[in-house]
Amino acid sequence: MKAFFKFFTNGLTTVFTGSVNYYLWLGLLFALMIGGAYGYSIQFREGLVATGMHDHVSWGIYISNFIFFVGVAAGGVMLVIPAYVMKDKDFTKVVLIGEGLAVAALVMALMFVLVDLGGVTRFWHMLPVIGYFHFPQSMLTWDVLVLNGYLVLNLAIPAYILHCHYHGREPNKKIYVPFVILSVFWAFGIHLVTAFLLVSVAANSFWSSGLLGPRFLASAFAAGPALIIIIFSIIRQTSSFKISDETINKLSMIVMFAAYANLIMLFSEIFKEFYWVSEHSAHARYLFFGLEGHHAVTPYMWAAVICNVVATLMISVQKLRENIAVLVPACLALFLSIWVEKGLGLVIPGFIPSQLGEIVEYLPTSVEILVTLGIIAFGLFTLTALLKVFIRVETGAISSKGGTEGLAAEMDAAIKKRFTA
Amino acid sequence: MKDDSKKKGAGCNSCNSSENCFADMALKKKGSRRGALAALFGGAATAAASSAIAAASTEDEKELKRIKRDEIFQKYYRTMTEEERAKTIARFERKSKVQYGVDAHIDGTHARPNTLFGYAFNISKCEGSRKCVDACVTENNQDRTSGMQYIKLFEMEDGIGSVHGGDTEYSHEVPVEGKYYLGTQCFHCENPPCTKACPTGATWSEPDGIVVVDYNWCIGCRYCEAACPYFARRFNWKEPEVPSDEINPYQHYLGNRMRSKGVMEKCTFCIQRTRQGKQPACAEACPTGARVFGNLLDPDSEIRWILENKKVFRLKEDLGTEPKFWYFTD
Amino acid sequence: MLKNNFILLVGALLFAGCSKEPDPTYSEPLEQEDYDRQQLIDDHRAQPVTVEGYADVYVAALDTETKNCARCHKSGEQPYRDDSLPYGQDAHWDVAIHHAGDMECFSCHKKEDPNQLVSVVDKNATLETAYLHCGSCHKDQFASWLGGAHGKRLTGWKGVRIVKNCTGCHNPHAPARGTTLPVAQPTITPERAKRH
Repeated sequence: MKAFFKFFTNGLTTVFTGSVNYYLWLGLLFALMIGGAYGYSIQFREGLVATGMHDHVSWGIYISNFIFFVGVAAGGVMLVIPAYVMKDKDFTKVVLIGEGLAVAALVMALMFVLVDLGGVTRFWHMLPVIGYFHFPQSMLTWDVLVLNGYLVLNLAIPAYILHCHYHGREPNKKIYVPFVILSVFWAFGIHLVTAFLLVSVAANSFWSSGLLGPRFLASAFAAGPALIIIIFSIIRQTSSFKISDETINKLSMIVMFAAYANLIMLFSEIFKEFYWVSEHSAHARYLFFGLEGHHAVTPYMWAAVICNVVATLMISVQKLRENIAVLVPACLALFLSIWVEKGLGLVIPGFIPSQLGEIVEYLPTSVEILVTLGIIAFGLFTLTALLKVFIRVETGAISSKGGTEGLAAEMDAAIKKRFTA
Repeated sequence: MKDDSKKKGAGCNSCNSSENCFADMALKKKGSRRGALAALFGGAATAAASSAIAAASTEDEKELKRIKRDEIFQKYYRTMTEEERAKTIARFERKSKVQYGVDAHIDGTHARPNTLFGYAFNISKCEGSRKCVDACVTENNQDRTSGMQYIKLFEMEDGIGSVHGGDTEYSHEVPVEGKYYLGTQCFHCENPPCTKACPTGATWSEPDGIVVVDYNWCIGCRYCEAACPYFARRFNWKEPEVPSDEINPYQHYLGNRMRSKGVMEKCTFCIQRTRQGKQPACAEACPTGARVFGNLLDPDSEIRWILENKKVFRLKEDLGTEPKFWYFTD
Repeated sequence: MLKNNFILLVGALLFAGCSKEPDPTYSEPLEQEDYDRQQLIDDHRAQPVTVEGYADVYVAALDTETKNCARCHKSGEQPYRDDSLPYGQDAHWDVAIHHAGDMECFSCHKKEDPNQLVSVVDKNATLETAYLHCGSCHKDQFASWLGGAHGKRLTGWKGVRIVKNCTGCHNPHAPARGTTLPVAQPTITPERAKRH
């Protein structure tokens, strides 16, 4: 226990030491977090009226982001499968990064749900035993189970492995591998359940599609690894941690295939909606062309679709894919386009027109945007902290034997490298 | 005066920037809630009443705080014992007195045996006067500042059957030649998607078929609102405000008692009335008799006569929700 | 071992947490007290419907006092007529007949006693039992009214059923209902959505 405590404090010191750029980054994140807290204080006092949501569009960018980040969390499993199940050497080294990303994304997802609640102080009502857990009927209770379970798994496994490495031991495979296998299934579970959250709304023709679950998985397995590639390139630039080109190449292949699957399913949905235009196509018509002069999300959706197709094409060409200067922007474009397509482009049009055909649009308020940015900043901070500890432990910069002395020198080297590059 | 009070009542929403919002809130915080209410609806409150309120306000405020604290740890209404229910109800009656100065009678009557409520709506008769909407808002103590309404009346072109083609915002003289009027509200489905979706069981179907909400158990996730195929549910996006002299004091725990912000509410077939044998406020207020309410288990009831003798339909029957709300024509 | 315990724990938590549906609770059956029934009947000055098989249905008296026709129209005499006024517009200047095209006063009112109604089926229809008279032409509406699909119930869903007479809602001289301005304008487009 004491050893773990030391590991923890040592890690904490690591998180708050770094280069000037690093401090600037932290400063930005904290500023955004404070902004988010301010926004939430307004929302908490005034009620959800401070957001742009209303009875017609009763879920907005909070739930959109929730759904997207659950996908990102699930996407982390794309490192786990090759690493543990296929025993790929390249991936074994970096798998903890994927799990760290999963933790950060889950933290964001859970926070997005919490800020979306009207009565956050009554949150405990949905906990088993002390509250009334409406399981298995309510898909939301399933989501609570799988998300928290996945969070625990992805916190516990890396913590155990890092803790062992910190003490210079090899982790015992018999202890953690069963949980890793479990986490693989669980990753599919979290995203399927989150998709079923929408699919189960039988009255909503836009959501209630059997394709939504697979589509969620495909887009998650494209967006998650795409983000990981971006993270890899940042790690390669800012630390001495080695990530081989081979790893990134393999990962970009995963992104490519997932992006194909995602596009195919998106196209299938579009075909269904527009070959025969019925009352049920109204949501898709709103999304792509606007309805009766209302088209708040149309430009974003078209931008996203174009971005998505272009990025997928770029990743498809081997020469471009292997060039990191092209791959990273392509991944960024893909990530952002899926963000729009799956978050904004799925949740909000589901409410427009409303169940009884009324068209009332939704625009997020400044409060909502502040809170959203704050949560994303918190997630990025979590990710930064986890990765920082991970890299320090894995490069041997911190361990139970040595202190953190080596850090400063190493950081200087990293900065120099960055500026000369 | 009315416009002015509405603006103030809207609070933060009426201002353009967050700075203004903040100032507005700071102002609100200074005055007591009761004081704010008195100011909001100053036209209605007499001077004597407001000075009496001021004298008692600090004492009341403390008590209100205590009551609100107790509310946080309140149990689930359905799993309470009868004594706990009675205590809870007494607390809310006291709260009504302290917060609004209204002697509310909060009823806790359970479902009556051999009762299953149903509703029939005559689309040939409805004139679209929206008197039902007005009666509903008054009866059920809905937030006046956000204009919450449970009932929607669709003005529909003859020959068009989908409400997607309807208009709810008409303000011309009614009825209009060549149009008919179709009202929607909570249909109290026998197989309600909303109660299934609720993660805390805060909304459920009562034995007499009424779908209710425990306002103190609802966490405000709004999953039920998304799940409802009929747009029947309403959310308190802000603290609801009803002028004290407009509060209906005859309340039911699962019905029209005062709600707070962040919880879902909906039509309860006027549970406070119907469990005492009365008609819902909408049916009573209807000037044309287009609304028929009754016990589906009573073979002599009007609603049963309609189901047996008229051609009826229900909205979105293909979903299998089994609404207990039928439309019929002459 | 650890894993087994963990699974057991999760299973137990789920089982305990998966809250089971509480049993339904009922109140006493609703009984309409007898005096209450009589009270309602008295309040509405209601009379039982004089149609066989509908003894439980009561018809409320009209809100307006029925004019005493006999004051001018003495039984068996010609109707009183003031020659200084245009025909049909004298004492009943406020009556305009817009009913089935070519109807006039004595299509419904008996000449000798205007309080009595001319009737195809029932010779005893009065202003109080106007439904019998109306129903002799408007058969569908009459059946619906008796059944409960047409007309207005004045009492609660439980207990004595007191309904309005036809003439309680329709002006018999111009039975089509007019137009009104709607109330309770909905606010489906919340301004706040646009404001921020």
